[in-house]
Amino acid sequence: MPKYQNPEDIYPSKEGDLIKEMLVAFIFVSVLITALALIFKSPFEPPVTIRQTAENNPVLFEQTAMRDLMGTSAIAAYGPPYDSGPAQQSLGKFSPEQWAGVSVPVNASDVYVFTPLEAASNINPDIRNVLAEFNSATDAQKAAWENNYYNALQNSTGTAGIISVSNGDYGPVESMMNYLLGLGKSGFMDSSLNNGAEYNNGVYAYNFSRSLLFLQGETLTDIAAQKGLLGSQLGIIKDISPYPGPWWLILYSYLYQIPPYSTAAAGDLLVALTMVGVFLAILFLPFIPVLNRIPYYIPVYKIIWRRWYKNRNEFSSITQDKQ
Amino acid sequence: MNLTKTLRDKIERDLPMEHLLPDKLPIYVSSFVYMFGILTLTSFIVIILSGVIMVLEGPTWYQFSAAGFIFRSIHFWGVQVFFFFLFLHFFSVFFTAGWREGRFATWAIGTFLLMFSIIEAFTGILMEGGFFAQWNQVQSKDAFNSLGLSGIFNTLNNGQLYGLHVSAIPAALILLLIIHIILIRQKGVVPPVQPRQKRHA
Repeated sequence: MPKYQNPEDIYPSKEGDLIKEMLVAFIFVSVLITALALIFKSPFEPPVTIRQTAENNPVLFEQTAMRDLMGTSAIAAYGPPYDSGPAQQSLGKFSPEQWAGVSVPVNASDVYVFTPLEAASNINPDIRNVLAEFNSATDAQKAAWENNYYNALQNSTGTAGIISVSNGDYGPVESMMNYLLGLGKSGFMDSSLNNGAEYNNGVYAYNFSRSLLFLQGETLTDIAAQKGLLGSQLGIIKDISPYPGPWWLILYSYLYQIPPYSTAAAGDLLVALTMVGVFLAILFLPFIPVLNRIPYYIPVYKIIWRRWYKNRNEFSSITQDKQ
Repeated sequence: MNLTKTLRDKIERDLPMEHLLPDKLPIYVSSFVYMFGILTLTSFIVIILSGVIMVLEGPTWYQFSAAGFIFRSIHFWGVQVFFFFLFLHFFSVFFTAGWREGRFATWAIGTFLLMFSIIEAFTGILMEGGFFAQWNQVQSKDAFNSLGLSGIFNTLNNGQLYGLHVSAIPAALILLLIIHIILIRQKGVVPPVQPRQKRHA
């Protein structure tokens, strides 16, 4: 005897053919999906590159690089998993980010400024001289040059990949940035950032952490805003217009728009923990009072089984006989 | 103890063939809502088949060739159709209190299937190859980093995402799906709510 009493052994039955149902369903969804694919195709907006940014918005490129050099960019001050600083996502002593440590090391000034310039200095000795002048300066002098140039950038103009800033005491920083801008415009930054010895010299160049971390922030945010893809625009459900996006992530995305998630310093951790909580609530829903009664408060089941309830008396004698 | 015989006896006892592949169904199984699960499953098969073809040919094929882009589009719309039917299936099971009479394990496995499906689709978006992927990669990294998952789920590492998307998560989904279907066939389709259940759940 089966261990479980299957209702198929108890209730009155009718002819059924699961395999045929499945074949019909498979043909139906195959035709539906193929028709949608042929008529509407699928969304594809080419990726943004560092080269494009350097050409189209050189001021933003240099501002990003300057913040990385000065250690004030979001990535330079991120903490784990990119550097060993304090984690930003902590609730008291609860900080999985801190516990996990540095798994994707990114020293922003080295990765985005010094390493590319040092590589380029092999074909342009002047870059070596500029770097030597910067490196031999005191920290106070470096900070003064950096601040002067960064402030000058706020009022600078840049078109077609060329920047003009007012005269000032920038030391070698202006030259460093202009050389870096040249590397950005050449496409060198795009290819070299994800290509070092730690990625087997490019043979396993699948990890785009470094280039994406350079582009993240203002660069990608500006483009996303133009396309209506910001969280505040419920961008997650839209994809590239007019295609539907991952609408099933609406709760995850919406949480970011409301307090306390939108205001808390550890908003990301709060959202992540809330989603874990939602999963556990659904998992154990059959045991959660009130929630497990919703199907009885809103009796949709009466519609689904309306024929059964209507003819129940007719079937009950057969059911009792089988039980 | 003969393990082979023990397993065979267990299968024969718990899942006889007339329950695994029934040609008769309870008379209360007469609503279109019972198609939602099958439509979800068959959409999943379309996604897997299109995905396997895409993997065999490679990203540049499905991104830039006319034939490849059709399969990319089938994969994209397959996921939309899959989630449409998945949520209809989820709500129909919820509103029929489908966990009743010893079916919690079926519900629990279904919940894990829902979670893994969302993560699977998410990894697909993150390696879609265009601006939308880049944007979601940088936007979502903070939540995964905050949970300390950057080592195994770095949203900026396309190689890692590719491995998760085409092997690890599909393997988990297929395994859970098999268990889910076995449990459904073992326990049978949940019967209509009885008056005493309405009172005591």
